[in-house]
Amino acid sequence: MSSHRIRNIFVQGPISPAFIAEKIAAHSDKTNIGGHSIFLGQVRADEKEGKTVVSIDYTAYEEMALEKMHAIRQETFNKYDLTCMHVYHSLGQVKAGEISLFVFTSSVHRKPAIDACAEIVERIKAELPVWGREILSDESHVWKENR
Amino acid sequence: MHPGKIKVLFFGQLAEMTGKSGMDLQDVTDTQAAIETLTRLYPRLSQTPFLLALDKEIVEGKIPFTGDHTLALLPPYAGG
Repeated sequence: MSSHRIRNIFVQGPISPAFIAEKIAAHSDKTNIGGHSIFLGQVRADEKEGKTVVSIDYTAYEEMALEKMHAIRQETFNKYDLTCMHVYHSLGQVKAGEISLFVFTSSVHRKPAIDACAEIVERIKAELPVWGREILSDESHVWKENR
Repeated sequence: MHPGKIKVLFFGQLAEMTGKSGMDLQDVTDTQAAIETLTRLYPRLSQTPFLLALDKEIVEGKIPFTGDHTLALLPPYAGG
């Protein structure tokens, strides 16, 4: 069920558990699906320079990120036998313990959903122009770097 | 075609370092000349790793400008 239009993946602030639950519920009428795979990225209260990360302020080159995500989406649909794929990423402030990334794939049998979900997460981290300013407990900040 | 207006975009720590989200450059012929001009304005650019996106495509080396373009300086990605 690949689509040709560029979809927005960005949501302002954290991704709420209620939003995630709604997205799961929205698939109950798609009875050909036999397995969903979900990845949730959560902001971690890392120790940096002797201080604690209290939140991350996300920014992106939105236009480029959405084009890149569109290409990743098309390539993933071509590679895996997926029924559905949904991706949401936060912009703005997300506190430690809150969700900033939600990747949701579905397939008839479990394996394509699991494999595609894992690959999409890796590609998002490596290929999307998104930045995170980690706000520390004393209100200073450092720039997040993906490993 | 003559080089046109180059719209430069700064993101992440580069936006913080330059104190702006972007600026326009005139009379630069290629990506290398643009980076040289920007590094003269912001010497700390030379100590900051970044990728270059020309019209939203990652490019490397010296790419000539033909008309108006958007040139984005992208520090290491940190999505997720």
